[in-house]
Amino acid sequence: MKELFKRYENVILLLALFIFASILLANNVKGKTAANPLERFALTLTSPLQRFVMFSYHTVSDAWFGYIALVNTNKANIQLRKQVEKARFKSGLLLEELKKYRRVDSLLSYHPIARSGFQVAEVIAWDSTNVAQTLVINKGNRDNVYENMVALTHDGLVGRVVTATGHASRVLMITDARSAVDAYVQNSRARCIVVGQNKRQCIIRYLSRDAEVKPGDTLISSGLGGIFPKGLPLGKVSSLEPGEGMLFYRAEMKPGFNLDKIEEVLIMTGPSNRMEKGVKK
Amino acid sequence: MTAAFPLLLFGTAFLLQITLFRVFLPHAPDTMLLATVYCGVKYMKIRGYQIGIIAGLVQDIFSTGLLGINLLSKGLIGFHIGWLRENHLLNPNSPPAWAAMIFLGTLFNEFAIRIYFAGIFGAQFTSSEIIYAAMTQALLNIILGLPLFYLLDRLQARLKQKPGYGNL
Repeated sequence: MKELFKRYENVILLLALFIFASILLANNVKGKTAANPLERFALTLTSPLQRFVMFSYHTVSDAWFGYIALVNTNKANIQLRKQVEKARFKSGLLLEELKKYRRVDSLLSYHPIARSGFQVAEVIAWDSTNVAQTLVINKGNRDNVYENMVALTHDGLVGRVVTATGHASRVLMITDARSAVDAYVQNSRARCIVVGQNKRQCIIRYLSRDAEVKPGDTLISSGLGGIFPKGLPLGKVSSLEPGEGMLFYRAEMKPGFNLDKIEEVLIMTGPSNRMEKGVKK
Repeated sequence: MTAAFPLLLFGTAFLLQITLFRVFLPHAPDTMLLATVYCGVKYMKIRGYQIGIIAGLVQDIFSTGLLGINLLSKGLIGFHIGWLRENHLLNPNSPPAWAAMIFLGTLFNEFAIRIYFAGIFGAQFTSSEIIYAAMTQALLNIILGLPLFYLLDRLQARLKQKPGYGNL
């Protein structure tokens, strides 16, 4: 038996590897983005370490930028004071506009997004491969963050929570190839689907060639699909080509959020169309 | 022969890869690939194969819905580099050989993952995009890998001289 193994060692090893990997891969295809118990365990186990590393980084960075790098602050301070005076004058004018807007808005039904509660979460780790586009945040079930909740920044939609453990969660970004968001172009209301490509740009699918769209137009979520609420900005159309003999445009979207600078995200925890249907608690 | 010391070092590097590196760089070096290449080069076929599978599995676990692809790719990389070393086709102490193995390993790994994403999830990559991404990743891996391998060699040589460490 030993001799047989020795003789066919290479074949046996490679065959075992292919079989084991195939079983795991087949399991993935079924679940697509569902986290398995191993992933949950790893996330729970390592999130304190990840927090510690990021906490150490922020402490050093705060000490540097908060104390050592404060040379020439006085000049900047004078300039900023002038800017504040100008801004105060402008805000006085805008306050009047705001009051008028509130009166009108109270007459209309208020947007569900504004009624949502939010949790501010810090990014504590990124994906272990440079290809997949996921983030780990420092909020989990204990902070009222659950799977399928929406993650966003002030620049727009980031993605959704795919794995939530006690103190940490994993967010699948809209730029990942496993993510698809039903959307429309804000100005023309043309419908399309924004699909991630594991790149900095997302692809826009099923955007009709009859639609009035131009590069720079904003895309917003349509609310269909049950996960992302209606009206969240996704990004801007970055390229648009009318493919020859095709019904749809070949188009790409640049996401609103900056992939390289993302440090915090907002998690929508409050009532939205999805929450009312009942999220696993 | 124990690989505990390199594994500890690569484990720490992996933690930094998924946290601090990404604060400063849009891409991070693939420390699990470096661990696989190192073990393949230094500890031959079986150890390269085992470490490749473990490193790939760890990487898969720290992503979502990718279980199996890194395991397969890194298992194959560890096995083949170890095979080259076992058959004396590779000098385990030569930095150019390390660089070549890191480069080839990275190319294979990047192609494997992208083919997986394209095949299963319908991601669209042009060949120039794949080549650019693979080259960038290979360069990053070589920049981190060569000093890391050198450091590990020096540390292991020093530990070998101390009594009680055996052939660590």
